[in-house]
Amino acid sequence: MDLEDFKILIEGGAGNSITMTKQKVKNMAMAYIFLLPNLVGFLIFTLIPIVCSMGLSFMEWDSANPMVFVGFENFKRLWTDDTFKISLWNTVYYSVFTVPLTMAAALGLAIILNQKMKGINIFRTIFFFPHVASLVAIAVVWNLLFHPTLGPVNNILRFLGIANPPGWTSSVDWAMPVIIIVSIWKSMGYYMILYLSGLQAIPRELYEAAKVDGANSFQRFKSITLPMLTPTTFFVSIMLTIACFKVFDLVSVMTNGGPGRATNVLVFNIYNTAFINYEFGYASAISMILFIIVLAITIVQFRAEKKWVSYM
Amino acid sequence: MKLKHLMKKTAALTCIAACGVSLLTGCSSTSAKTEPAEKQGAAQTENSDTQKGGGAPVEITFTVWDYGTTDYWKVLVEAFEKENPDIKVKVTDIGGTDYDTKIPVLLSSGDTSDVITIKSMPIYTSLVEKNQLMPLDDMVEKSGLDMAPYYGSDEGIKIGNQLYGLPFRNDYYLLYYNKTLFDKAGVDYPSNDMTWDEYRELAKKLTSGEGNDKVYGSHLHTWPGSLYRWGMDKDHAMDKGDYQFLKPVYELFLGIQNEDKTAMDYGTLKTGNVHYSGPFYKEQVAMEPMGTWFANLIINAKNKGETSVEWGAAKAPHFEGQDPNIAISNPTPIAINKNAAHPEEAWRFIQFMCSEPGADLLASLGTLPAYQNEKTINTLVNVEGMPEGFKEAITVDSFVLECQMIPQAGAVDKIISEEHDLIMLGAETIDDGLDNMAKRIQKLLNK
Repeated sequence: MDLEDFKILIEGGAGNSITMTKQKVKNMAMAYIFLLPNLVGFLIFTLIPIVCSMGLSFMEWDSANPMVFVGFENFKRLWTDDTFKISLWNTVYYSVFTVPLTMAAALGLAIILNQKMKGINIFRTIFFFPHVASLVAIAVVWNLLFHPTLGPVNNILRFLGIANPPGWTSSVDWAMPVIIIVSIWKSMGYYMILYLSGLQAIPRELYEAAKVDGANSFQRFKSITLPMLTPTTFFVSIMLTIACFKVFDLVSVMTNGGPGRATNVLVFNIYNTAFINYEFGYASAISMILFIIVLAITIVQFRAEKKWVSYM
Repeated sequence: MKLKHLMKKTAALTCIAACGVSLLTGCSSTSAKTEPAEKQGAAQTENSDTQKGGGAPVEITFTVWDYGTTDYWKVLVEAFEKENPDIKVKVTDIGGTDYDTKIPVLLSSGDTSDVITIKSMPIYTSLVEKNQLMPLDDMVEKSGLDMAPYYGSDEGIKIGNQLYGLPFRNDYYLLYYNKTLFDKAGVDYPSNDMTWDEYRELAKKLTSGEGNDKVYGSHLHTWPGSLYRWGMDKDHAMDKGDYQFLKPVYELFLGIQNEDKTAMDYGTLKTGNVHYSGPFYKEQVAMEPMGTWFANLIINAKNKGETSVEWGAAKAPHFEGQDPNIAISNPTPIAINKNAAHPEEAWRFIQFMCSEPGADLLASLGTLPAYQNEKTINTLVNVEGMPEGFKEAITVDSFVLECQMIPQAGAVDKIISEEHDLIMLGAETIDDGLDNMAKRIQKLLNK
């Protein structure tokens, strides 16, 4: 459903209520009844909390004493808050690497696993598995793999002749790359499935025709696969960007924001501000900033859509 | 399609907001509930007096962490119920990891739980700031409770000259050592009056071996509190915004770790999430400064066959000029909810838990109580499995509280722990780290 269709639906046909027939009214009522369960959930668990959080971002509140209206104080404070700046920078750092690398990994996997081969489903399942596995278990295992002195990763590096391998999660410079690597590993299977469905929707005739015309496999990939996949890529890029800006769980269980503040990301900062420092107003202000950033990026992505996304 | 994306995004983004709101709605009900709760409390109190002769007992709720896995809660509750047949204790067991985030949420919702055990002091100060704990001074006075055996730990946790909890435990650090490793190295056991310089030299003598078989002379746990306490005294606390006094302590710890290599390094311990008991149980370390509660853990582990370490304990080392008989301690108070449904009964319960009857029972199970007199201390040192000389090791003259008695204690702790990380990992020099710590904390306190 497109946004336009939806507008038509809620505004009742052409938006002219006088000419609405009885049948149309009946249809509208039916539509609302079917939408109701979802809308009620959306209202209670999403819309009302958003509005409240917006209101809260102008307050000072410790969850017990009465709220105090402070105007834009919370937002002004953001400008001088190192931890906020660091967490914003870390979130951008994380996203800038995670989004393209995950997309590349997912697309690569999808192309490899889009073959008619015996047991291909087993491989698809294997690569999808990290997405459904428990995050805490994953974090423990990866932490062990990257352990600075006993971990297999550093043992291999030492074997290869690197005398001083990085300290990974115990190093300020390497903690974030570890989070990025684990994040890509965990989510690429999910996006692989999306790419697989996109790949399978490409008509085989296009490839056959190109082959007849003498296009080699790289040319076929560049001129058929990539353009035909643009709607999927568009969807994946938006979902991934949003997921990246929301990252919390992985950081919380793997590094707890550390060492120091090296992996302190926005949502982690929001959590600490609210539930460790009991500054719910200030935490809401940070979440409003997060909301605005993600909204802006999504709008830009939608604007750019027309330029590069081709729907058949 | 587009709309679906938008909706998904909005849904995801507001998870955070939802948390805030659930608290918001919780809060609004607080004021509505408070009054009836207090009235109810008063009514129950009157009833309870008449009930002493018989009738249905009053039920109070007792909020505590890890009830099932801590050896003493159940014993204490049962002993109290036996002695007070007119009161029944209903236990609310909350997991230890989440306890400190759940308690503030619980109390903000206007809950009428009666007795709240305080797991960490930042929660205590913030609950007092939020006006959620009941001042106990009147009750102390009325009951005539002797406060001397708390050795000032009760005074230490007063805020605005009012007491909001009775100290149940009051832990400080001892030096635990592995007798077998000392005997093997042919070195005398540590004395009760040892300086950190002597400790450092001793650690060198006790370190031997290489690789996986290496025995470390010293073990220094990663908690910031297991470092900064050694610089503290009555003039140097962690909530003042000046941390230069920690410089010698960091020099000592980093020297032991990096130059002498007589202790496992911070990064390894931290990323490996190594529990402070692990290396000691496995006899990989000869000496470890750790809290008084560790004695009970070792005894239990030995009884279960998890370790066969032959251990002893002495007073923790001190810097030149510091008095070894002043301990830096951290109390665990038990408090009463301001909205408690049964404040009178709750007071009788915490009085039992935190004064001689409860303290003696606690000591008999191997844990040091905050209420310390000849009787409770003797009970503790006579627990089976306690090493010789334990009484001398734990006997001190007075306490300085480690905890910060300010409402922002949680946020201050977070900053200390972040900068501690960077100094210990070598990502910051000691001077820069202490400077940043001071700047960030001053900014927070002056806000």
